[in-house]
Amino acid sequence: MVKLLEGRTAIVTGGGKGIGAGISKALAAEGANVLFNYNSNPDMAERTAADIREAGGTAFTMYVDVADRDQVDAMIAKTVELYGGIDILVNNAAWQPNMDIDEYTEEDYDRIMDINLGGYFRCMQAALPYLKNSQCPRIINISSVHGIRPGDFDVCYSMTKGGIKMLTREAALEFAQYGITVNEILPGGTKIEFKSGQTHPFKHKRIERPRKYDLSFMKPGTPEDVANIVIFLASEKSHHISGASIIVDGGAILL
Amino acid sequence: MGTNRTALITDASHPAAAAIAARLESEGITVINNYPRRSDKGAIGEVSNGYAFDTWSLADMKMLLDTIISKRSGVSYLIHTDNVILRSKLEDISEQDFKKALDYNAKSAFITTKVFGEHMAQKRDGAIIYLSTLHDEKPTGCAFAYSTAKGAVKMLCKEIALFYGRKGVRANVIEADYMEEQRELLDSFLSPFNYDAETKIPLKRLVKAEDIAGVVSFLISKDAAFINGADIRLDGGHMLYYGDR
Repeated sequence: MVKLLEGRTAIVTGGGKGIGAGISKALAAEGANVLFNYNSNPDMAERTAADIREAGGTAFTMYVDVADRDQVDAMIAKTVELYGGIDILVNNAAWQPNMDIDEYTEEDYDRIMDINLGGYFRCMQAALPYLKNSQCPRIINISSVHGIRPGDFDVCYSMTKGGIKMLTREAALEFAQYGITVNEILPGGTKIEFKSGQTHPFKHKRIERPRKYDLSFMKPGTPEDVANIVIFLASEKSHHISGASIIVDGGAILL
Repeated sequence: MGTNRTALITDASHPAAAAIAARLESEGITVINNYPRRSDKGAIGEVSNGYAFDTWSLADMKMLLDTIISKRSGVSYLIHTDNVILRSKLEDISEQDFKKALDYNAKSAFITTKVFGEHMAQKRDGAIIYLSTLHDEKPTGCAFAYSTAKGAVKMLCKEIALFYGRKGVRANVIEADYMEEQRELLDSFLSPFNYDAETKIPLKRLVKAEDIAGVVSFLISKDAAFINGADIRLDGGHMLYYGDR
């Protein structure tokens, strides 16, 4: 059976763990060559790459801080050297320190902007010359429902996700002349593997409700739920979708 | 309403700032004008028509708050008016210009909120208004870093409406259409949104400074006491159109 993304090349930032790992694996399973970076957890990145190779896919992982222009340029150059071009860019790497405004220092603010917004901008700009040469160029930005609805646990995380919404729309408008589509995905709560010692982000006490409230349909999503949308957006089938924001939260936004 | 009330306008060089100040002063509110030193790196501190502190600097904003407190009881209303349209294409903007656009528009909102929001929360009284733009939803086609920053400000407002709302401080965004003074900066061949304005806006005119001043006055008034975390669109209906029709 012909795979949807056979022979195409994808970059996934932060693709070694969590939602990013699910995306990397799904892209590789559909036949794409995948290069993903890691920043904080080389073991999980190597494990993801090994999983992909064991399943017959192609993957390469390297350390890259997306806040550093030279390192981003090196990641783009390595991808082109290994696979000859770039067809799909999935921006996913983000920092989420879970702090309220009174806890954020000015340095923390600068850092999260540089990763969560600057990283997306930098990777798009650096990948653009190669995406222009692709037959089916795609940019997919992983955002969050907290780009449209506050999360109440990290003021700057939500700011960056609100920024990604406009970064996506502007890029979709500007890059349309090159045939590049640009879309964002807004996952809600997603079940991921935490590093030891890391805590669940919700810092404010949850409301206790009587049992009559049946919210059993409200389950956290999985990285695969997000990856399924990435695969569709990366495929030719999505050619008429650009500048869109797709919520993947099982309907939680309805509550 | 305005007795012993003070409003801080964070960037008094905004084309609507004078009208906002005049409106609030007519209601008995004392207005403090600040002029961020973006191009004119003159002396920091008190100037003839107000203050000159950089809104994207935590140290500067703490200094401004200390200076204000030394002379009066404090600030009741924060009117964030920093709105710097830096024309740029994603394809070729420099790292420096990208950061500048984010700092001037988004970091200034964050820093002024951090300093003056906490100050107002301690008094459990106050209101924050972010004078923003339609381009926190609609792409410009010519100033991507500007709209990216304004998208961030929109979410700052919603988070703050929760966080400081619990402490008696409301926060809202005004999504204003562009004024005549801002029009040239938003000209784009990628989007006819700007070019079509007079034809498309049902009210057949651009937004005026007085329109903006009226909404600011309303949002800080008692009549707006239950409005929190809202996006008030001020565009005469401009955003109702779809596509290139």
